[in-house]
Amino acid sequence: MTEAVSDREYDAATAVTLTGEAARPAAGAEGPPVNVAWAGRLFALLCAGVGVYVAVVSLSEIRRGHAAPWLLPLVTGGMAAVLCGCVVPACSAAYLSWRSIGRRTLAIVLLSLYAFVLLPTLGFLLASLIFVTVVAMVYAPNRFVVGLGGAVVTIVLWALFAYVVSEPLPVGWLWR
Amino acid sequence: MTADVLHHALSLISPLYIVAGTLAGYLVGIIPGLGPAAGITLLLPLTYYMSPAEALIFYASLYQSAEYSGSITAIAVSTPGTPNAAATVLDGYPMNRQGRIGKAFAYSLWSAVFASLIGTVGMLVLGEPMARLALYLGPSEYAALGILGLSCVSILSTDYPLRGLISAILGLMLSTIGLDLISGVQRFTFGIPSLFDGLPLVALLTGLFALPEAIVLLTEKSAGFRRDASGGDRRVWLRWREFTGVFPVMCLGTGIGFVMGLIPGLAGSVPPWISYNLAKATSSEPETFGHGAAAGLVAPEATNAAVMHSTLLPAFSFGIPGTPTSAVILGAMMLSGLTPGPMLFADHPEIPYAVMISLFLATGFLWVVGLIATNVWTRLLAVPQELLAIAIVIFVMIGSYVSRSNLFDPQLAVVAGIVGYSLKKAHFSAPALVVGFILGPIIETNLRRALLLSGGSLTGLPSPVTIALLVLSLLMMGFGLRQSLSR
Repeated sequence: MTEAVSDREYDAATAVTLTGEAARPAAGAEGPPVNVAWAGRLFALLCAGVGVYVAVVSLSEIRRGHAAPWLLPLVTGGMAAVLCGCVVPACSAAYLSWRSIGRRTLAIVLLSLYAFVLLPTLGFLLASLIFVTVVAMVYAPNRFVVGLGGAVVTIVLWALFAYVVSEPLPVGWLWR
Repeated sequence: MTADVLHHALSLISPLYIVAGTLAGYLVGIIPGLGPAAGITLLLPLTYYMSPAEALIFYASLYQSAEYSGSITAIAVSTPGTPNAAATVLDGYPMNRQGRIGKAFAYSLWSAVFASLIGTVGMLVLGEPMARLALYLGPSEYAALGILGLSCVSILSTDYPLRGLISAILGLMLSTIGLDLISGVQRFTFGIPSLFDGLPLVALLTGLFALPEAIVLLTEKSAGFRRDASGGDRRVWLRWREFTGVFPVMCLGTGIGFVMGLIPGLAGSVPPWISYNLAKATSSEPETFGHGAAAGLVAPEATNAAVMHSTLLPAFSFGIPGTPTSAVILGAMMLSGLTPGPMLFADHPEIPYAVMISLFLATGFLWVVGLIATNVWTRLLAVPQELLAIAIVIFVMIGSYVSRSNLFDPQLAVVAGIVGYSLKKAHFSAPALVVGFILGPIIETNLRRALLLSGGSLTGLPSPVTIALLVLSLLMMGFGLRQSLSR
């Protein structure tokens, strides 16, 4: 028998990561639960990688004779690499639904598109209105209220900075 | 404090910023998940439009009222607005369920006001002596003190000490990006001109603190966002007998909070629990705790308010932040062109005193607003959380852009937001990272000064104080590592 597992129940399960006691929730309408403990491990490994890079660069600069400015990066890089290595085996089970993972990933993708593509291209006002509309459509149960409220916040702040503070927000290269 | 300094300090006090800060703090504290650190970070760009004294008065007033108003949602809907208000739920919410919501609000408000007044007096009394003490410290002692502060914050302020320590080290690493202040050497700039001055503080802080909250608000349903439908007597008032009945507990909570707030890393969600347990242990009716006991509500509330004031003391006098919020306030000081630490009291004594005196006025305003409008604030919980998330994102984008009028900054804020969200979900500590980032230049500059003074010799470096501080730091790190590895 399958039992529906809500986002909140999955999230509660993710609270346990270090001790390895998280129980695997049953599959539900949102698809089978996914063990996302690897994400924590991946993050720790990434930090360890950054630490190694920083330590190696610092060491090569110290060998070239610039000891003082590279001492702290060398020490912190080395410590990060070693300590992150200690974290890796300590991570254990943590469960999320596919739907929950998708929602979170999409939020990050939308934010990145907004900052790296829309904002430089279309400028603050248009980019923000598009972002608000998409977010309201995807995430809000009451799309109209959230979309309208978000648009009002955007326009009021834009007008405030453009006309009151005289600090123009990005225009976007498309309109230049 | 001389009459001249007092006169100058009084002239700097700005009622407008006290009112604005207190109201903004109420708003920030009530919204579950936002908290004072994220709230101040969101408003950090305003620093550019204020004088240093105005900015500090605004942020200190905001911090004070945000610490108090976290209890409003704890009482009204059983969800603490800030993590520090978690202990308030235990007796605050049962009082609400018993139809005594007005009394619960009043006990919480009176405790916060009392502890804030005592905490501010403590700041006035201890601020200058602590700064004078800090002036006796040489570069090596100062670097060691920074390391001790950092290890305390990273180990004590999180449930996962090893991850806290790693986060602090990552913060130190990030602080080395940019042109080296002493030699002018470029470090990890990758030829990007926007990185020559280091990572922009506003973008980094808004990204790390505010954007992860926005992502959480968008993607996870929060139990805190529900309409307050509590019935019963909503009048926020205490009778004299009720006040005197809890007065000893109020004093106990204030004392515990003030002392614990002075120790970097201990301030946060731990002191209110200690205070709650002590109040229960010393109560003649311990069985009433958890069932709407006034003392159980008063003790953690007084502690929270007192902690807030004493955490500002090491930040102002030593330049060592003990909490993420005080780290953000130190960031605001740096943005205003002030140097946190003992030189603040030496060069601009009027500014810290203006902040402290303003906190008295802010406490009065906090009390008035609490009496009149506590019930109104709870209506904010009816705002859709997705709308709030959108507003936070827009604020972050604008805030990070206007600080340098550079598109690189909002983009960096988003990267910092993604890193902050990952840190949060992987149980690393964004606050420890920020404290590491703020303390990085202080530790590095003093360490290198000490090395220069000793002619580059490590053997000539340590004084007994330095050795003691470093040994304490090592013990703290060892304790944290042992705790983490033994899990």
